[in-house]
Amino acid sequence: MSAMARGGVVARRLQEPLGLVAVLAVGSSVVWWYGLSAYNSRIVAVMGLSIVVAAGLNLLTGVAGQLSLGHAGFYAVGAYTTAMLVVDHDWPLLATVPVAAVLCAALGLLLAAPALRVQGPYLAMVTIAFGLIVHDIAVEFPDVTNGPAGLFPIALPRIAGRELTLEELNYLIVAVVALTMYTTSSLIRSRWGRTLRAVHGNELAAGSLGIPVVRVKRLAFVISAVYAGVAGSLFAAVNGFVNPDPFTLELSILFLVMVIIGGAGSVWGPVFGAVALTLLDRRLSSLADYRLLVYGGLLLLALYVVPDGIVGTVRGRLRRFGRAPSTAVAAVEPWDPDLGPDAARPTPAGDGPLLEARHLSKSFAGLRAVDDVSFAVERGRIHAIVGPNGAGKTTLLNLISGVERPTTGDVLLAGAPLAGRPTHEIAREGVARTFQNLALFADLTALDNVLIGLHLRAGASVPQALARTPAVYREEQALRDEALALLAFVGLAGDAGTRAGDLPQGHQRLLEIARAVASRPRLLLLDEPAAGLNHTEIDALGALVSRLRDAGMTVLFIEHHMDLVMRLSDRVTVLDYGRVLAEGTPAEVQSDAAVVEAYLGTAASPTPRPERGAAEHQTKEIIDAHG
Amino acid sequence: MLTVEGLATGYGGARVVHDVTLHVDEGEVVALVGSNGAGKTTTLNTLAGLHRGSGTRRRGRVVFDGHDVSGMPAARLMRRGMVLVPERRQVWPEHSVGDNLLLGAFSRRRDKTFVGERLDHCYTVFPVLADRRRQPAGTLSGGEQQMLAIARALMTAPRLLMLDEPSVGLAPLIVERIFEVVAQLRDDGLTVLVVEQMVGTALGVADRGYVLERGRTVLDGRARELLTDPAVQAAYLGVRSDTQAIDEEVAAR
Repeated sequence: MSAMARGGVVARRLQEPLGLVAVLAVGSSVVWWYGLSAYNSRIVAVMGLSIVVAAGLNLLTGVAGQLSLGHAGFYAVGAYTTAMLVVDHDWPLLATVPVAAVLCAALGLLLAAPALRVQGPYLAMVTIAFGLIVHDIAVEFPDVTNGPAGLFPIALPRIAGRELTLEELNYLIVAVVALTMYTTSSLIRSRWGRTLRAVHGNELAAGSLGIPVVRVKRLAFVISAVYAGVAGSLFAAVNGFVNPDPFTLELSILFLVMVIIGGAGSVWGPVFGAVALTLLDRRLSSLADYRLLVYGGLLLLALYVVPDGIVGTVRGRLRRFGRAPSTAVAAVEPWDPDLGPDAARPTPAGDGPLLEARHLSKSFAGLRAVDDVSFAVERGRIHAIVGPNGAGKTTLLNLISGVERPTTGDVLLAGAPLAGRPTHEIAREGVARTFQNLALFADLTALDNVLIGLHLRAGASVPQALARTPAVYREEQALRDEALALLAFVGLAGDAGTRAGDLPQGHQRLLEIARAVASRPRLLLLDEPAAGLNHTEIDALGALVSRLRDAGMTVLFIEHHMDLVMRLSDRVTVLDYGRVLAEGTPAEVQSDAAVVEAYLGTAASPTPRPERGAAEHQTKEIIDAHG
Repeated sequence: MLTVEGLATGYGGARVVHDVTLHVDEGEVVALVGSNGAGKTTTLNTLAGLHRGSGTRRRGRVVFDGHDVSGMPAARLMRRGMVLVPERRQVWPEHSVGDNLLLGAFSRRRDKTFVGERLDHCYTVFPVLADRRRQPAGTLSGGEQQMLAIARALMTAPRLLMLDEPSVGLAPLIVERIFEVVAQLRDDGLTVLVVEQMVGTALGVADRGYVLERGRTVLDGRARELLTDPAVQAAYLGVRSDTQAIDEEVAAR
C-alpha cells in the first residue's frame, strides 16, 4: 500500500475521534468567550441544543429521506418530561434525561407507524399534526402541564452534590454536542447509515438487497426522536421553566431549515445550519412578526444559491478544483466469487432443482401476464428466459424475487416455499437480482452502491455503529476492500468514486450486477444484463457470468441478445403470452419453428427480409400480436 | 445540415466528451457507435440542448442549417427542427398514448391544425399507436413504447431526428422493425443521427458512421466500409454483429 493510500486510511480511522476533539475544543472556547454575560451564554446553550436536534433530524430527513415537520413535538416532550419530574417529583435533573430519551423513542416508534404508509407531503402533514397535538396537550391539560403558565422553577442540574453554574451547564452541553456529532457521523458512515440512504434512494432496490425497509424507517424515527428528546430535556435546565410558547410549528420549521441550509444528508451540515440560524434568530428577535417571512425568503435564497446546503456546495466546489474525495486504493485483491465454506450461505446439499416454479400465474386487472408457468432451474446451471416484449418475463422474475405476489402457484427455493414472502426475506434466503429499468442508488457513488449490496454480509449492530467500535472499523475496512474488488471484478475499478447516475447505461448494468453479487447469493436473477452493452462488453459479461456459475452460483437471466443466450445458457425457457412456448437446450430452442416465428424472426432464419413497403404493415401485425 | 466541430463537455469536474467532430447531410442516416463511456449519449444530449455541461466548460461549435446553435436550449432547438428520442424511451407511463403524443407537440401547442395533422401522420406511420391511443403508455410493450417515443418526437415535424439506443431491451424481431421504421423515415425525407450499441444492425441501415472512443471521434466512413473493415471490427466493434453471428451458426448446422 502506498504512503498516500495509508494516509487516507489513517485519516478515515481518525475522522470521528478528531471530530469529537474539534467540537469539544471549539465549543469550549465559545462557551469560555461568551460565558461573561448570561444573555450570550443562553444563546450559546440554545445553539448547542439546536445542533443536537438538527443532527438527529438530519438522520431522518437528510439521510433517510423521511420529512418531519414535527420535531418541536419531541423537543417539547423532552422538556416537559424533565420539568414534570423535577418540579412535581423532585427528581435530580440529570436522572430525567434518560427518561425523556426513552419516552421520545417510544413516541418516535408511534409516529413511524403512519410514516410507513405515506410519503412526501402526506408524511409532512402527519408530522405537523403530531407537533400540533403535543403543543395543544401542553396548553389544554393544566392539571399535568400547568397550561400556558408552564412549570417552574427548574433548578440547575447537580453533579456530585454541587449545583452547576450556567457556564458549567454550557460545558456539559458542549460535551453532549460532541457526543451527538460523534455518534451521528459514525452512524452515517456505517453500514446502517448506508441502509438509511438506500431506503431514501430506492426502496425496491433496498428490499432486494435484504434491507428490511419498514424496520429501517422505524429506526430512523426512533433515533432522531431520541436526540430531540435529550436536547429538549437540557433545554428545560437552561431555561429554568417550561411553557408551551417555544414549541410551535415555527420551531419545527426552523429545525428543518437548519438541516436544509446546512446541507441535508451531510455529517456537518446541521452544525453550520444550526449556528447560522440561531444567530440570525437572535438578530431578528425584534422583528418577531416577520420571522417566518425571513426564514421563508432565506430558504428560497438558499435553495437558489447553495442548492446542496452550505456543506454540500462547498464540497462540490472543492471537488471541482480537483480535490475529489479519496477512493483510490493502491492494489486490491482480486474478488473471488467462491461460495465455499466462507460464504454466508453455502448452497445446501441436495439433488433437486434449486428453483422450481409450479403453475405460477399473475393477473393484472384481468390480464394474465404470467399464465400457469412451471419450470425448474438446476443447481449450478445458467438458465435463460427469452421471449417477445410483453411476454411476462420480468413479471416472472418479480414473482420469484417477491416484488409481486403470484395470483396462484408456488415458487420453491431448494424445496422451501418463497411465494408471498417479503423481498428482503427472499434476499436473505440467497436470491439476488438486477432490474430491467435499473434501480441503482443514483445519487450515491458506485462504491456505496456495492457497499449497500454487502449489507447482508456485515454484522455491525446499531449501537456498535453509533459507537464506532474498533470491530466496526475493521469490518468497514474489509467491506470496503471487498467492494473495490467487486468493482474491479465487473470492470469498473476506475469508477468507484463516480456517482452511479453519471455512469453510462451499460456500466450502470454492470454496477447492478456487482451490487447483486456482493451478497454471494445462491440464485442470481439478471434482467437483461446485456442491454446497452456492445459486443466486446457482452463477451466480457458472458465470461463474468460463467465464472459465477463455476464458483457454484445458479443464474437465471432474461436476455434479448441471442448470441449471448446461445453461448452461455445450459437451458432456455421461451415465454410467449405469459405461457411457456418451448423449453430445452439452446440448440433445441433455436431450431423450434414456433420460437423462430414468434421471437427470433429473420435474424435466425435464412428467409429474405420483407420489402420496405411491407414493413409498416408487418410492424403493426407483429406488435399487435405481442403487445 | 448539421456540423459539429471540436465539441467538448462533461459532468462536474470530469470531462467526458473531448473532441467530437462530425457532420450529417440532409436525407442521410448517420450512426454514432462506440463502447460504454465513450460519450455517445452525452454528445447526443448536448446536441439536443439537454446537457449544458455544468461545471465543465463546453467548447466547440454546433451549426444547424447554417446557424450557430451552440449552447441553445432544447425548446429552441426543437423549434428549429432538431429533436431527440432519449435513452430508455422516457415515455410518461401514467399518461395515455394520445397525451404522450400531444405533449410531444408542446412547443407548437397553439397551432391546433398543425398538431392535428401531426397526430394523424403519427398514427399513419404507427398504426399500432392509433389502436392504443387511450391506453396508458406504461402498459405498452417495450417495442411499442419505442415506437411511441419516436412518434412523440415526430410530433413537431422535425428535420433532424436523433435516436439514442432505440434497440435497448427489445426482442430481436422488434429491433428489426424499429430499424425498418428508421429506414422508412429516411426514405420519407427525414435526416437521422442514431447512437446504437448493436453496431451491425445500426450500420446495416445507416449511410455513414462515426466511431467514438473516449470522447473523441476517431474514425468515420461509409457504413458498409466500417462494417467490413477488419481492423475497425477488431478494434472498436467487437468481433462480429449479432445478425452475422446467428446467421453463421444457422449456416453451420
